[in-house]
Amino acid sequence: MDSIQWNRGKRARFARKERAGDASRETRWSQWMAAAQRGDARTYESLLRELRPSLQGFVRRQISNDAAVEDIVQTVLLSLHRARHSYRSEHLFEPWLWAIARNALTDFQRKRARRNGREEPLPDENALPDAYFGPTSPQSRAGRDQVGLSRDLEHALSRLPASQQEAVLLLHMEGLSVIEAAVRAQVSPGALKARVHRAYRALRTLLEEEVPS
Amino acid sequence: MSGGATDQLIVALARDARPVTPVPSLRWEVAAVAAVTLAISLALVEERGLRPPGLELLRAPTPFALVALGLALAGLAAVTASLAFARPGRERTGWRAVTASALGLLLSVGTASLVLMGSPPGAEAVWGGWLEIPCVLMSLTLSVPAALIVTYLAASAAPLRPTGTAFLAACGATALGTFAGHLICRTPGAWHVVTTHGAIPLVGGLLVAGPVLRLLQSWTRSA
Repeated sequence: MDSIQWNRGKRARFARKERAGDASRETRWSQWMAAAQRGDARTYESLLRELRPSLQGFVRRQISNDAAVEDIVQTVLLSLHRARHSYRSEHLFEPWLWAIARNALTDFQRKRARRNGREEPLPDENALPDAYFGPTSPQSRAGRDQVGLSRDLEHALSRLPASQQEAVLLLHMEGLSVIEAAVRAQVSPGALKARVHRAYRALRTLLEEEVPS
Repeated sequence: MSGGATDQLIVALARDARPVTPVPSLRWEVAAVAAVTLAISLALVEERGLRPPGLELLRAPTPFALVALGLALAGLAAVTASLAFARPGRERTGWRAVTASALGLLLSVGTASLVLMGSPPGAEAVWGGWLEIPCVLMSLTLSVPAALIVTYLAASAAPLRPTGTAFLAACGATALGTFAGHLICRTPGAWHVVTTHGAIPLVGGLLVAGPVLRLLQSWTRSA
């Protein structure tokens, strides 16, 4: 009986401590977010770094695949960045954060259900039609007309959806990294890679139609 | 996707941390929509006069007054819900407002129907045929300003579920447009104001939701 009471007391003390921890965390995050809204880059980085393990824990409760967890965390961070003006400091920060995280998780699960487990692995960057992106390509060395190829590429690019065009241009014309391009396009790095992958597939088909081997 | 990529992403996002202006308070935004609706309604009443027999309709709990109250309440609550759903973390407010909107309209239409059923029978046709169409079109036209304002305000926040946000914005704006139209409507029949005016927000919401969604998505992208 005594041990049960002692356990109850311990649990209550632990819960109190946890609530106090939650409250101080909430206050800290809320203040950091307000600073981030004012453009304080260093505080914003600290906030994102501190949010990361909490977000990973939240996502891991639903998804076991490590790569997927990291992908969703990145999507949440990007959504948070895009929506940072929608936070008002007189409201709690955590409900705002978890709403964004839940939304990203639901979107991921919905997409996964649609794909029904038939996910195609992303191709190696080298397998992409590099011939069309640089003068040192084997095809140009083989004497292909580079001007003609560029024209073909431009034409093929213009036939892609705007989001895919943007992804290819950011990565190959502007030479940005996947992360930089993802921030610029306001999508997660995973989504950007998927867009590029789809763009390459479409470009390959279009260029094969236009450039006879 | 590796953890290193997340680190790089955090650095890139922090580098992109420009100052942003937080969204205005939800109350202020709803008040702005209410003010615009009131201004339009008063201008219309000034121009065309209140539905005959005029102020008498508002002195007692007539079906006209009950439906007017229901439309205003349902419209503002649906607008509140739409704007709340456009702000992450305000979903609870959104669901409360959805409930208030549905209950407000149902209760007002239900009470108005009971009042009408208890009154002596008159020439209160339920369906006015072609006469109903101008009334519906006028209500939909009058809902355009509110729909544009609510869509703009929702797009300026961060709508996580654009379809639901757009549907509620469309329902709310149509209810407010119908409220303005309700005050000056000349279509005869007390049942007309109860059934047709009571049904327009939902029907109009379904019709207007598509264009509102497209507008919301395009304004969200450019915001």
